[in-house]
Amino acid sequence: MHTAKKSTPLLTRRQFLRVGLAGGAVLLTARLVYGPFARMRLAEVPEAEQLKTLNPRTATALAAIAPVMLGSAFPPAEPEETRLGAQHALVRAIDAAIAAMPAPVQAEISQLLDLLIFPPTRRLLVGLREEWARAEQDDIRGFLYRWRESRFQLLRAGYQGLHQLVCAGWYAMPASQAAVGYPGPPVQWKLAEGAA
Amino acid sequence: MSTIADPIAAGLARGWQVVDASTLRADTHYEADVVIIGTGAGGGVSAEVLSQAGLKVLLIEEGPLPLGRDFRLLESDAYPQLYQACAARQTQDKAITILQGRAVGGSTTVNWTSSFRTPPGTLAVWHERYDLPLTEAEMRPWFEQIETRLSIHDWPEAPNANNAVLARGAQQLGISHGRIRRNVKGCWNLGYCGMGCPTHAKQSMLVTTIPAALDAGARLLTRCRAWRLNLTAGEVSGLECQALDSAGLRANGVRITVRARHYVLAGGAINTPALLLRSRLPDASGRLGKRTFLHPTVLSAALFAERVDAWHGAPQTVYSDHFLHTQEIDGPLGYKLETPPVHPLLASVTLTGLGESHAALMRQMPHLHVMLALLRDGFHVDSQGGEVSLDDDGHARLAYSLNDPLWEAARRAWLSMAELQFAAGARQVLPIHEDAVPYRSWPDAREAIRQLPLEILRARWVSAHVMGGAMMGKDASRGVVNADGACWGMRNLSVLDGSVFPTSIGANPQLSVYALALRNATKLAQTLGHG
Repeated sequence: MHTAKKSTPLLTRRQFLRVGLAGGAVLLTARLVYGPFARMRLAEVPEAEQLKTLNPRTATALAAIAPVMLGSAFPPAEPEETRLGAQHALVRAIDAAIAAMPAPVQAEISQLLDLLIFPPTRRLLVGLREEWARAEQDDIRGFLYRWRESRFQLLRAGYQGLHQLVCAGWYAMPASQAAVGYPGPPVQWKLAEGAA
Repeated sequence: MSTIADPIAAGLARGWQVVDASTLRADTHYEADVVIIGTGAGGGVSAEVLSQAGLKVLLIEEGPLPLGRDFRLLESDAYPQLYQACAARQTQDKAITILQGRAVGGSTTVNWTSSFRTPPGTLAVWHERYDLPLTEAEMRPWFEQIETRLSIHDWPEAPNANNAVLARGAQQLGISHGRIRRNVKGCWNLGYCGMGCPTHAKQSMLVTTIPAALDAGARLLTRCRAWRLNLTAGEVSGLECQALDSAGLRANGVRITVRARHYVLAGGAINTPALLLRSRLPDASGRLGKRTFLHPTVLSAALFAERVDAWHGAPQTVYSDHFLHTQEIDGPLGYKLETPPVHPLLASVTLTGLGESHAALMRQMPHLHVMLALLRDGFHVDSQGGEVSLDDDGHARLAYSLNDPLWEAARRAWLSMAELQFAAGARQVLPIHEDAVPYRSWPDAREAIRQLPLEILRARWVSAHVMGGAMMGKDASRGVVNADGACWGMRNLSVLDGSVFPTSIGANPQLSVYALALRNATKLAQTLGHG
């Protein structure tokens, strides 16, 4: 496995999953941001609640990037439970999207996400001295702009990958689509299908 | 209860021989007269012709067989189920994102129905430069026949607001433009073609030729990946396939072997060359996997005071070929102007910027119009296209270098589109490039576009048309196949998809693939009938 996985994670996979189960969105993402949980056996976590491709640390990084990438499309920091619920939903959507990708693409995405969380590359390439859970929005914004405008193709590709993951995850959701004035599947069809 | 008849469910109920390979529990062997790999534009047409000629046909498809009820018109459903790599297939350097179908019917199941005959200028180059006999006169009967078969006709409805922008702008500037013919029958004008047609009005392979082939006794294996042809002494002796898991992503360990008199490749211009590369086809011409063309496409968004609702209504009904004809076909690259439908998921990943600027643009989606310019690659001496190769695990990958002639054309295309959009009444125009911002006037936009850095992963490039990689040539030193699609040096192997094109088409390619496949499958049926 990748060396990044050997360093101490902010949350273990189990801890991450447990919260999703026990406390739902609010507790889960609160813990994402504020720290570790007690352990729980993976066997106790129903399959539907398990993340397929992300781990607690990559999920934390994506949850931290989302509000910066999505701007005011994303719920504001207050009330906290709404913001946390959105982060939870987005992380699950991104996880599902990655899981549906062909194996070579999944491998590339996982390399990109490992780059974000592996402490040396997080400090050197991302420019974050602190863990993702404690990163300031301004620092995350600075990182995204630096990669987006980098003279290195690899970093620009990394930024575009994150842009795609976060935007696709967010704007796949019916609520986000409604929020930008998109009506969803047309009424005539819904009537014919008997779904309306 | 649905009031829309489902031709797939009905066919299955009357006994079509369809096997979802992900349900096979043991290695399985099939025999057929002809095995066709891929069920898109080329494979679908070939399947109908060959099975109706009385040949025992087996179809191999990597994607699923979608039923009508699977088309839920949700982007989050459609992209993972019906597209290669969730509609995010990319070139190796990530510079170009490629929309390509992956289901029974291939890209025809999810395309936007635009139907153009191969332009005369393209056929002339094929004739003059590549010595191919595919002249306008030669191709005309095949176009006529397939147009009748697929109900390709002028679209009588008014263009939607998104397409009307292109027509209005062109009118204002005195630029020629026209209406796009469509392969539809009883179309509801909904605008969700890219998510699979829920009313089966789109005359894709899924509801036309494939059902006809299955009714004629053809068999279909879905979620089955063709992996390697066994080649011995100038002929194919067998095909090895992998059954996929129920998600259709990974080989599940079950192997499927096929033995046939003849092997037809129609997996599209990335997967067909990759299959030939995995099979170690002798490559006398050095052209296998080379000259892959994409119609590399750049985009320009515009905001209007009035609503555009660019998700609503037939997605592509207006085009302009003006900029294909302003210079010689092999001169500076020309481009075709069209509009894409705008749905939020794909729009959000395609629109540039982040944070507040991105959110603001998304919030104005009902007022957003998007135009695109398809560059005609493969004619200019320095436009040699991309290259399909294999990674260490044998998966296909595509390299495509965006070189100077393409960048020069991209800048002209952004300028043309911005000028048209302002002429049509746009309040703001945004070339889809990370360094651009919405401009409020044509002079502002013109000045800014002239300064935009021409670099990958700053400018957004997309493609929905993959062509070439197994080009036709007059002899074995000049191409992978001949003009009939027969593979040079192999007795029983044909390529009947867009891989055979020696250049790009210069128009949406579905009708070019249909007509050439119809011609060549008809010839093949005659040959095999006498065999």
